[in-house]
Amino acid sequence: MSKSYEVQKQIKNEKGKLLLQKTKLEYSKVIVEVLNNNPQLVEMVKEKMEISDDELWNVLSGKEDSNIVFYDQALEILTHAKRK
Amino acid sequence: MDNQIDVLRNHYFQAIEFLQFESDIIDALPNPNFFSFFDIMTGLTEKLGQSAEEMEQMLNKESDSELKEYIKEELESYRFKLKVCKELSENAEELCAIERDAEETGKKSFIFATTSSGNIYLEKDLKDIPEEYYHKVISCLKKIEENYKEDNPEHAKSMNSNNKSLAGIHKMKEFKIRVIYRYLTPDIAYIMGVKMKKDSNSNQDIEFNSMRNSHTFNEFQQLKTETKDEVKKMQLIEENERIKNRIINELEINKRGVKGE
Repeated sequence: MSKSYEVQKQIKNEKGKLLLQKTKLEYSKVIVEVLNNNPQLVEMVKEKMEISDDELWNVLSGKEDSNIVFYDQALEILTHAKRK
Repeated sequence: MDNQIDVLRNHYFQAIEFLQFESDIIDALPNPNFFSFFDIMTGLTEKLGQSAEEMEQMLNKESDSELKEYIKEELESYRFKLKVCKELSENAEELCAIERDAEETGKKSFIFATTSSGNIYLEKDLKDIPEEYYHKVISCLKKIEENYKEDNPEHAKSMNSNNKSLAGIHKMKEFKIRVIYRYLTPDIAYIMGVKMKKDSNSNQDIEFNSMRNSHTFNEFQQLKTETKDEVKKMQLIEENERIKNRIINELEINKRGVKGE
């Protein structure tokens, strides 16, 4: 394959990584907004996910990175809670 | 909010589509630590499958040889991603099945994790546990053996963390003591070690658990294969029963009582 194809691959990969980080930030933003408006749900999220206060806020603040399922699970829990 | 989660998942799927290098793809894929793993995987494999089909159609229509090569590479990338997703899903389903069956199965046998030089990790860890806590270690081991469940679900928790590799790892708790284990089969607990709980230092605990999991991963995978053979499984159970009895006897001899807690 040509050199330009290899460079394209690099660029595409970097784009994927950036998009992934951006998506996690978007998740965090939505989750933090819901928790700010419904602080009583914080304990519920921690309990259902079996995580500590530190773990929750370190990830949502961006201090620590996490797998996509962490963010998705938190948002799913809050989505179900708000439906009730 | 329902719509929001779908939108965000789609953004995630797009990110995966862009990733090209194996290590980045594997790092970005969902881990099975939380149940939304299954929903995300379903959506992701559907999206990747659709895109792979489109690539195949393009490949069949394309006559330019250089473009064909380019499309082939893209198609290979999608196939790799689908293959890894399939493996992750199958492993997660197998883990769920073992966890589910372990809940129902009564008494557990033990297999003790060993270091690369053949020493038992639990015995190694006990050197850092004061003797006045030995009776707590015995209690944890007996509870794991009896598949103890208490109303308080804190006592045996499957550890969730951000770390992909910690899915399916449990800790049995007594005051200040944590015995870490996972299920090799529904009736065999793989005892990975014991630790004193440090007050308010969950990061140290997570690091310990993560390292122990990393050091025992290969042995665990090997034992998973070996225990599929019934004869080998019974041999391992008998051998480790002797080890368990030895450990508990030594703990009984050396333990000191603790006045109140």
